[in-house]
Amino acid sequence: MSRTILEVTDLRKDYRQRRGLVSMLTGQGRVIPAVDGVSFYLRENETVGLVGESGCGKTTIGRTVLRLTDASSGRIVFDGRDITTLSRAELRPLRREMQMIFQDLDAGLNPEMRVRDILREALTVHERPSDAEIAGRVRELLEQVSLKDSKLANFPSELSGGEKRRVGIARVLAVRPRLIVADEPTSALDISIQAQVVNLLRDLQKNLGLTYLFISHDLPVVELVSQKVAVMYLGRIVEMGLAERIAHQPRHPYTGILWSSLADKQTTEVTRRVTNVAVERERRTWGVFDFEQPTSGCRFAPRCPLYKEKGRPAICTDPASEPQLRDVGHGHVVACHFA
Amino acid sequence: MDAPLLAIENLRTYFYSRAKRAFIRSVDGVSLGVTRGETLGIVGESGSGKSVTALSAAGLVTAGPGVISGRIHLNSNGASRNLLDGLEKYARVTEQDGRVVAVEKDERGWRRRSETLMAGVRGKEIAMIFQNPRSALNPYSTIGKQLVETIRLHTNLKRESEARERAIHWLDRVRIDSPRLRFDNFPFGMSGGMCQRAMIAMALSAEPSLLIADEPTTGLDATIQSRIVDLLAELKAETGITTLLISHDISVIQRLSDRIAVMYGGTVVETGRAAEVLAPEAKVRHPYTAALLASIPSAETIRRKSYLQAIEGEVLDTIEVPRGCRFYGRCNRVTEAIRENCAGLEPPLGEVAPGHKVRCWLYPSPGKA
Ligand SMILES: Nc1ncnc2c1ncn2[C@@H]1O[C@H](COP(=O)(O)OP(=O)(O)O)[C@@H](O)[C@H]1O
Ligand SMILES: Nc1ncnc2c1ncn2[C@@H]1O[C@H](COP(=O)(O)OP(=O)(O)O)[C@@H](O)[C@H]1O
Ligand code: SF4
Ligand code: SF4
Ligand SMILES: [Mg+2]
Ligand SMILES: [Mg+2]
Repeated sequence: MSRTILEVTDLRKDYRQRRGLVSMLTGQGRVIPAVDGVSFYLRENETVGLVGESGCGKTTIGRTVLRLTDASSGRIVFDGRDITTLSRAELRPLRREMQMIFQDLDAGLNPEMRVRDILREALTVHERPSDAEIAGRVRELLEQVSLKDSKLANFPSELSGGEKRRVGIARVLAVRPRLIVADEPTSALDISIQAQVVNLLRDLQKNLGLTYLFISHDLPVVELVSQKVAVMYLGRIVEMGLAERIAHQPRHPYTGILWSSLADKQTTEVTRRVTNVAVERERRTWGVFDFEQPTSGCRFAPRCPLYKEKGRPAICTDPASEPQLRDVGHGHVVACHFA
Repeated sequence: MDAPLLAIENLRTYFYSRAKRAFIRSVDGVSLGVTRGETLGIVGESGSGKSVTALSAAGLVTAGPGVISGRIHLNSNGASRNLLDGLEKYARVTEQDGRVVAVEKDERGWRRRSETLMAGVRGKEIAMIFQNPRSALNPYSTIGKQLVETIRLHTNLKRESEARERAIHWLDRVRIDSPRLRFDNFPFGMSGGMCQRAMIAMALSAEPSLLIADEPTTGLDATIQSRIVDLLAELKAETGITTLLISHDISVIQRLSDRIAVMYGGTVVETGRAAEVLAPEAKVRHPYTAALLASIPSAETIRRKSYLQAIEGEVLDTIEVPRGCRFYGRCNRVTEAIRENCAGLEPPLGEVAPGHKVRCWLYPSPGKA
């Protein structure tokens, strides 16, 4: 078995949210626990998928484990070394090993620079290669991301969405990272181009031995690329396990709904199976809720079809017994009293 | 048969790109009809000209030179009008070797003329919803206020209290929970899915003849996307609203459309009844439509962890339109028998079965071959 490259333990990240005019002006606001006690690990050369609706904390996890933002508490161990509180200077040599592909296609692409200079800059952040070495590496990068060298002279505004994504990936590869957090790498692209990028990322993993934390709300793609999947709800992982099990034998009611809402797109017999009547009813109003402050007990209770089906059991909303991740066998963990 | 509610004939809409110092033929000879009560879905990758087609129909093209030629007939409320009436007097195009080299257009004159033609049409007869609902809503006004305004402007409910009740009715119809409470919400406190629901309520509250929905689900969470599609399907069943639906996601188009038009490089490459064009066993299918369908990962692909079927290459920029088929560079169906045609001659949009047209040399229309 390959070794663990990233281990995250009880990670928390609070933001002070400024909502409404008064709090905006006074600078006060309530604290939102964007990531609220999350633990997981990544083995070398594997992909863990992180799924959940917008605002559940996926990006925050990605940014925190790469130390692009500081954790409020918890422990992040990269390659056997605790990096939770390393200083900027101490982090510098590690920066090249862990990189992020941002959701925004334009992130990191200076609009004033040509593709050639963007790549050159990325290649010289950590090293001082000769011009010949740079030229060689640029050629190699173009080949790795299948970009025509005629694009080297283009400015980002002269690239299509798919080409921007390829340049963004080339930029990340320039420093030869080992761990990549890919934050919704395809969500801004057309379906036809998404397929190109997914294939590319899989090829790169195979050829370069990369490890991915793959963040997405495109569940079929997550199932395709990941060995393991973690499902998040309001700052917590509510279910985690092998991709096939999460996709086809989910135990948490939230995962069931999440996957069943794709049943229309992907008519798999499995997604049909999890679609019971209660879920069907929930689906009608799905998406009309805003993210509320976590309630007491299980934070999914206000939307949980199983909770309603079971006649609103007190344990689900008991502040003293928020459901914890529990092993249900086959390396599959679930946080639900009734799973 | 009934005259279509909206009939677009040979529409051309061009823009001038300063960066590329060239004219972009965004819409390059498009003809489409939307029959009363039906949903026509336009599908195609980004940049194929879907939005510009819709914006042209709604008189919302602002950049120059804009609409160049064509006719857009709107047959509603017993009246038939050509929304591009008299356009030919305002614009003249010069072409050279497949490249537009000059467009002379009296844009101000045309804009004035267009405003007259569109009076009472946009927002009332034709309502539009867009991809980014949050930016289409006024951030400084509550959802309720914005709805009330639309209702008082476009329907005969002029009294504040009546309009208010109707607004709440619409919020309820788009399945916004606690509509009376939501009435006083500002857009910024609402999720993307909720904003899109509010936007749909806004569009429908004007009681339009035609709803144009341009990428109504794009950019939303996958879970929310299917909820919005459900909602549109329910509203269609309840109100029978005629809809021009646009999406790059063929699965969205598939679920909601009666007929579909596939666009590529500013032209329609296939059109017909959705059930026929998208039928799994269809024998006749434009290679581009086939590629779009194949790019949706199937359950089988995922189970076997196979490669996804991408459409290789990039969409055609419509500056340098090739002499042959616009899809030629990316097409994987070219045979030796037709290669010369594919490369050198643009295929016509030929009828391959009643109401089913395909622009491809693989399917010469009967009698024309
Ligand atoms: N810089 C920030 N300041 C305040 N709140 C933030 C910030 N970044 C994210 N949040 C909040 O944290 C929560 C999680 O956000 P995010 O990690 O971006 O979710 P996701 O990536 O799953 O959509 C959201 O409620 C979001 O509004
Ligand atoms: N205002 C504009 N100025 C210049 N080019 C434009 C403008 N609007 C659209 N285009 C170009 O026209 C083409 C078609 O655009 P559009 O209709 O928006 O495509 P779609 O909606 O199918 O993604 C694209 O190449 C786009 O860049
Ligand atoms: S613990 Fe109760 S409320 Fe939470 S997911 Fe399980 S059944 Fe639903
Ligand atoms: S005409 Fe030729 S290139 Fe065009 S779609 Fe048909 S087979 Fe492909
Ligand atoms: Mg995010
Ligand atoms: Mg568009």
